[in-house]
Amino acid sequence: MNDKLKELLNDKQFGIPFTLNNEESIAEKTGSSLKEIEDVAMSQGIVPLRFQRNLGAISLEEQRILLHSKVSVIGCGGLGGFVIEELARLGVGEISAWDYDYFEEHNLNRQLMSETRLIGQSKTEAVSKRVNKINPLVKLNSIYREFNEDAGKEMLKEQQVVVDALDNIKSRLELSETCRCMGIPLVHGAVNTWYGQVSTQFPGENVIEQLYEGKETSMSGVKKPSVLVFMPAMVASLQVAEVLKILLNRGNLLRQKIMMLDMLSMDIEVIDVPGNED
Amino acid sequence: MKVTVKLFAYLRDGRFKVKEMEFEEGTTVQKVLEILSIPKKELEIGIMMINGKRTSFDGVLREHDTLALFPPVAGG
Repeated sequence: MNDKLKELLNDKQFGIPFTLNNEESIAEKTGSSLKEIEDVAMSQGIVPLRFQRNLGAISLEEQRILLHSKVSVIGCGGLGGFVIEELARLGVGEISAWDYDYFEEHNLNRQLMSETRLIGQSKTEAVSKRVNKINPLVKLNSIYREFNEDAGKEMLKEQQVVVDALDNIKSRLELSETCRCMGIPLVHGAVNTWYGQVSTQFPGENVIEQLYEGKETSMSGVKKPSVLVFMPAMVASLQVAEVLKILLNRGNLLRQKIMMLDMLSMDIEVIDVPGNED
Repeated sequence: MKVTVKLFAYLRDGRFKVKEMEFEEGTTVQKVLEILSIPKKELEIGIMMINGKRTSFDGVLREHDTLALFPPVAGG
């Protein structure tokens, strides 16, 4: 199969630019999936036009790594919507989108995937449709269930990175523990009003526990869940940058650090949070 | 004694980002919260640091310390 594909791809008619239409016509001729075609094309040094403007920042080999990458995003609300959009546009091949909620009118101020006509529909379904429109090669797994440790242990196998886009402390702590047990890096993000925070936790580290442990029932009395749209957009973008670097093993990560963002003062600060000694 | 107090996220609302303040010797973190009218509840679930190390409400401040207070941010 790959030989036939390689032969077809060497044909000058599929030269530059290599478009999605090219890929679809090869799929028709060969019965290969778009993902197989794109994989072979990239292995031959052929740049899919969709990703032409990624290259330079990342290499074609790295683009191909993304095609074979698996990332889970826990929560498809404010943070999760932007995270998934960006992962799909980057070219991550398999995205698992978790949520058990549906859109409500008060989501429209900040949740990228929400639309007036989608009020009452499940968030994971909306995410699935949108991703298919952005990058039809993404295998999008809609996981319509609440996150807990059991669900995580069942569904997070083989995931390379997990994104914490949750909205409550209890689930964040369960996710942190689950990722630690399963040896999966976790990229944390959280927002409130004009403020946000980002951190990356590898197995063996405990930044999330330092932030929240013992406090899971104490959120009453804390600020109302007001969030301005640029906060999830910013924090999600920073989370995706962390995911990309983990997948490609490049650059510097926010490990044992928290980046605190204050968009009212236009102030960003990175604070060291060394691990507990125990 | 002089202590630098740094506030983060919504603790800054109506207060400040960073300020050098004058306290009596032996002042605890809890006392600073009272002086700044920060409800203890907001820090029960946040992080408090003196010179970059975790501390508690009973943590005692010394001359030229930096106290940093982070409330919980957990929305998504």
